[in-house]
Amino acid sequence: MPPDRDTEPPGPKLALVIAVAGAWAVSFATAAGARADGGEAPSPGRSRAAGSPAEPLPVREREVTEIEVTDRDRTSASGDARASSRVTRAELEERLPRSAPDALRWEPGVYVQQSGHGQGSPYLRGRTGQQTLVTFDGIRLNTSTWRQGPNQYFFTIDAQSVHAIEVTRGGASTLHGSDAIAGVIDADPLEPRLDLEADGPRVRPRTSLRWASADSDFSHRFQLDTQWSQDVRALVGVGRRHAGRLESGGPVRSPTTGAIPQVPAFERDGRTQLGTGFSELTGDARLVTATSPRTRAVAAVYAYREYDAPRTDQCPPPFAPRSECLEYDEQFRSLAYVAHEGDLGALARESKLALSYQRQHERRTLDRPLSFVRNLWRDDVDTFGVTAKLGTAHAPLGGRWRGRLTYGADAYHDDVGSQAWTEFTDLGIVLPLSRGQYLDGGSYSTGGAYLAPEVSWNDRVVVRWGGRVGLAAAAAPGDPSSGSRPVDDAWLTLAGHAGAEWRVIADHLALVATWDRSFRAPNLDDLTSRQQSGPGFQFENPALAPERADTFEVGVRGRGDAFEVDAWAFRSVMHDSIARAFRSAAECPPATPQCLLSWSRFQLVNTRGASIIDGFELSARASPIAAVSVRGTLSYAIGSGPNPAARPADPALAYAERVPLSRIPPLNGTAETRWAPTPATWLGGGVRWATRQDRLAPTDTRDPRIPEGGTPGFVAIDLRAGWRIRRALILGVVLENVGDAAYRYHGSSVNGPGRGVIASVESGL
Amino acid sequence: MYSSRSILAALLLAAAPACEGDDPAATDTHLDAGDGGGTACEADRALVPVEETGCAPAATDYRPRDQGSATDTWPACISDDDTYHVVEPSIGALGRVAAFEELAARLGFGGTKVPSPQDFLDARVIYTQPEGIESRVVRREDEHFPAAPMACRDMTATEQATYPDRCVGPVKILPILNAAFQAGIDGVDPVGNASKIEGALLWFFYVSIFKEATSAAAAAKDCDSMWAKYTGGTQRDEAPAGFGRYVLARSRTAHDRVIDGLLAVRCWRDLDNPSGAAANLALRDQARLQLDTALLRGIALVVRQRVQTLPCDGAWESTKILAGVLDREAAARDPGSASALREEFAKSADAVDAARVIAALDALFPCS
Repeated sequence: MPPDRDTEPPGPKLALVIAVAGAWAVSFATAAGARADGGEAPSPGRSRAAGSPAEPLPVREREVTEIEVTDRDRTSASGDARASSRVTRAELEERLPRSAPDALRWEPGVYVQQSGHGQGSPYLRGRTGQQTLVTFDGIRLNTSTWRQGPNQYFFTIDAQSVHAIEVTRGGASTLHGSDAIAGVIDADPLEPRLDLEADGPRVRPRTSLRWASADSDFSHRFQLDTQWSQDVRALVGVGRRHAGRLESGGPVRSPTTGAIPQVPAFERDGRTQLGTGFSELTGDARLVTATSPRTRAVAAVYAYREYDAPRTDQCPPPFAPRSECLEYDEQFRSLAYVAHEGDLGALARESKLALSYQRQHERRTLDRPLSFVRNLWRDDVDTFGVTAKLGTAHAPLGGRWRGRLTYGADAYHDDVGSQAWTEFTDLGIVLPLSRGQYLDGGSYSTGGAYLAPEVSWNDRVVVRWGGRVGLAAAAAPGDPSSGSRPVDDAWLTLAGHAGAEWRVIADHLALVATWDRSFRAPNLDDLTSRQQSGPGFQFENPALAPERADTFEVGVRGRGDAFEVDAWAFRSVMHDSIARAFRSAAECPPATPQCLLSWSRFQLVNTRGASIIDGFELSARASPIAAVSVRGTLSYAIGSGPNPAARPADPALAYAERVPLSRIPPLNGTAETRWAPTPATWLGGGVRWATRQDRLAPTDTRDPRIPEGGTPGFVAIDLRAGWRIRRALILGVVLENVGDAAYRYHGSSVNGPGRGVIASVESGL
Repeated sequence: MYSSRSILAALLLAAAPACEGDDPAATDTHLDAGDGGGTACEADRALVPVEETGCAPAATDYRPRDQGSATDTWPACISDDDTYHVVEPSIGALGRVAAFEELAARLGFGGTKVPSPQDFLDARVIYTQPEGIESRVVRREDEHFPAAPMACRDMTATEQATYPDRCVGPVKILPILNAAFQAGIDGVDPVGNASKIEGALLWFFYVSIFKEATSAAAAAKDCDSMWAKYTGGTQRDEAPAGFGRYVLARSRTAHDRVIDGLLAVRCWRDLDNPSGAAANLALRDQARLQLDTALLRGIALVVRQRVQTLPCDGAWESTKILAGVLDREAAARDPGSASALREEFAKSADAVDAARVIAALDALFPCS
C-alpha cells in the first residue's frame, strides 16, 4: 500500500486551480440548468443536489488477485456519493453467473433482458442500450452502432476475466460523456498478482472448469499469472465454451389470455428452447510494469469470439417455420489499450492516461432453407480512443475546508463498415446489396473535457459539482439506390452535476442529494440504420438531435459494524427523448421493401415534452450472527412519455397524450443468505422475484417478446454451496431455479433456465 | 483510412485466438438478358369483361350496396357506408401485394413478355425479401381443411406431407415457386415458369384471404390483411391491385361481390367484440362463406377466360394451377363436373376442350 498522499500539503497552486475550476463549473452548471428549464435561470431549489463520482484511479493498491476478497471489494469505485454497487470476484465465484450481464441480476436497479441465450442487456433504472455506458477498465465500449433498447454487447465481456463489475446508477455524463444517461457499468479486469516477497520470477498457472445442466454449458479457462520481477508482471488467459440449447421451466403464458407466446419456440418437450446455444473463445493478456514507485504502465489485449449465437426471437421468427433462424455467426470484440496510471504529483495525485483501440465485428445470417435463401450481413466498427482522467490531492482551503479536483478529457472515433448480401443456395448465387444495416464508410466522433471539483467542510459536509463540454460529430455517405441520405452533422453537448452529502453521523449515516444533467448525442444507428427490430422495421432519421436527461436523486446511506443500508429515490426527466414513432408504409424510405412488408414500421424521433422515470432502490446487507450474512434489494421504476405517434385523424380511435415508456422493468427484488460454517466453506441461497409488468408502451404491444397483456411475475430460487481452500482450490455448486419456475425477465426472448445444476472447479497456484 | 484500419486490426488479431470469416464472394449476376425460349402470347390482351345477369345473392348475404345494408338481415355496422374501415393504420400485407405487382411486371404475368434469367433472379429477390411473400408462403395453411394436430410450421417436412391440403403453403405452393424460379434463372421455359409463378401466387393469395377472415376472430386487424390481399388497399370504386385486379378485369359484378364479402367480414368483426376475441363464430362463418363463394367465382372467371386463349404458354400453367384450386369446392358441389374439369386439365394445352371446361365452370361457380 502506498502512503496516504492526501495528507501531504499540496501548496497554494492547487488551491488556486480548484477555486478557478470551481467558479467555472458553477457557471457552467447554471447554464446547463437554464437550458433544461427553457431559458430560465435555475432556482437553488432545483439545483439542489450534487454528486461527483469521485472515482479513485488505478494505483498499485488495486493490484489484488482474482480471488482475494478484501473490504475494497464492497467499496464502490464511485465512492459513496452516488447510487452504486459492485459485484465482486468472490460473489461471482459463489453465484456462478452464465455471463457478465447475468452477474448483475442481484444488483439493485439493474434488470437484465436477453434477446438471445448468447446475449444480454442490463437495464439501469429502466434504460438500456444507448442510454447506459459500458466501460472496461475505464475504456468506453459503447460504439456508434449501439442500438435503441437492449443490445448484446455487454455479453462480449468475458466474466471469467473480470475481477469486479461496478454499477453506477443515474446520469454520469460529466465524467463519462455521451450515453451515460441511466448510469455506467464498468468491468474491472483481473490483475496479475504482485508478490512482494518474491525475489525472482514466478509463474502461477490456473485453470477453471464450469458446467451447467440446463444448457449443457461447458467452459474452461486457463491462465498464467507471471511475475518476472516486482516491476514487471503479466497475466495471460484463454477460454473456451460451448452451450447447448437452454432448457427452461416451460412456457411463460400470457397473463390475460393464458396463451403461449410465439417467442420463444420450444422443442417438443415444451421446455427446451429453440434458438439457444452458442460457442465462445476468449483470450486476454495484460502486462503491467512499474514506471516509478508510484506509477505504472499497462498494456492489455482482450479478445472475445462468439460463434453461432441465434437471436432467440428470430430463431425461428414468430409464426415462421422452425427451420428459419437469424444467427450471429460471429460476434467478436477485440480491445487493446495502453495506459499509464498513478501518482504524477499534487495536481495529478491520481491519473490514468490511455490509448485504446476496439474492433466490434458482427456477421449475421438469416437462413430460410425451405426457399434456399440466406440474408447475410457484416458490420464492423473500429474505435480509436484517447482518455485522460486525473484527480488532485485533497487540499486545505482554509479553516475546516478541504478541496479536490477531478478533471480530464476524452475522445473516441469510430469507423464503420457495413455490407449485406442475399444468397440463393440452390443456385450458388450471391448478390451484394447496395447498403448494409448501416451506411458503409460512416464515421463518428465523440469526446469532451470536464472539471469536477469537490469541497468538504469538517469531513461532515461535502459539496460536489462539475461540468463537461462535449462534441459529437457524425458523417456517412448517402446511398442513392436505397434512398439513404448522407449524414454530416455535429452537436455541442453540455453536461453537469451538483450536489451535497451530509454525513450526519460520521461513517455511519449520510444523506445525499444530487442533480445531474447527462446527454446522448444521436449515433450512427439512429442516423443511418435500417433493421428489423423486435416490434417491427426501424428506419433511419438523419435529422435527430441529442437527448438530455436531468436526474434528481436523494439517498440515505447507513453503515454499521454488521449492516449496510442504501436507499435511493430518483426522478429522471428526459428532454428531446429519442423514441420510436409508428410510420405508415407511405413513409418508408424508397427501395426498402422490407419496410413496406413489415407488420409495423418505426422511425426514431425526438419527442416533444418530457419523458419521466421515477423510482427507488433499496439494498441492505447484514450479518445478524457470526458467519451468517443476508442481503436484499428492492427496485422499482415507472416511466411515461409523450406519445410519439401522431393523433389519428379518426377521433373514434383511442389516443393517449402520454404513454408508458418501453420495457420498463416491474417491481423486482432479490434476497440472499449465506452461512460460512468454516472460513473455507459456504452454504446459502438466493431468491430473485419480479411482479407482473403490464404497463406497456405502444411498441411493446407489438413486440412478440412480450406476452399479450404483459410479462407475468416470477420467483426463482437458487441454492449454493462451496469450498474454498485459499488460492489452491475453489469448488462451487449452484442448484438453480429449484422450484423449476417458468419465468422470463420482461422484454426477453429467452425464458430463464429450469431446475438445474451449475458446478465449478477452479484450481491453481 | 481503411488500410490503416486493417493494419491495426491485423495487429490486434495477431494476438487473438481466432479471426474473422471471409465475406461471401459475390456472383457475376449479369445473366443472359436475351430470349430464354418460348413466346409471349398475351393471354389477357383481348380480355372482355363478362356481362353477368340474373345473379342472386344468398338470403343471408351482407349487401352494403343495397341501401346501406338496410334490406339484408345484418344489423347496422361499420361497413354500411360501403367503405372498408381499417382496424389499424399499418398493414404489412399491402407490401406483399405491391411485391406481387412488381413480380407481375418483371415476369410478364399473362404472357406479356418472355422474361430473361435476370428477370427471374430480380423477381426472386423481390419474392424472398424478409417479411415478403415467401415468408408467408412457407407458413400458409389452408383453413378450408381440418386443422392438423399441430401447426404446420412446427412439423417436419415428412409430417407436413401427411397433411398436404392443410399445409398447402410448404407442401404444395412452395415447391412450385422454388422450381419455377430455379428453372427460370437457368433459362428454362421462361414463359411457362412465369405462368407457374403467377398461378401459385394467386393460389397463395386466395388461401391467405380466407385464412385472414378466419384468424380475424382472434385478431381483428387480420381483417385488414384480408382486405389488403384482395384489393391492394383500395376501396370499391378504385382500381385494385393483385388478386382484385384479375377479378375486376373479368367481371365488375364478381368483383363487387368479393368486396361485399370483405365488408361482411369486417361488419361481423365490428359487431363481435371488436376490441377482443370474437365470440359469434356462426356469423363469422356466414360472412366467410359469402366471401369464399365470391372469391371462387372470381377464380373461375380467370380460368374460364384463360382457357379461351389456349394454347398459350403464358396462360396454361397458371390455368392448370387455378383449376386445381377450384377442385375442392367443385367436388363438393358436383363430383361429376369436378371430374370433367380434372380430365380436361390432365391434357396438354392444345388438347383441352375449352367448351367443356367453360360449361363445367359456369355450372359449378355461377354468379351470385
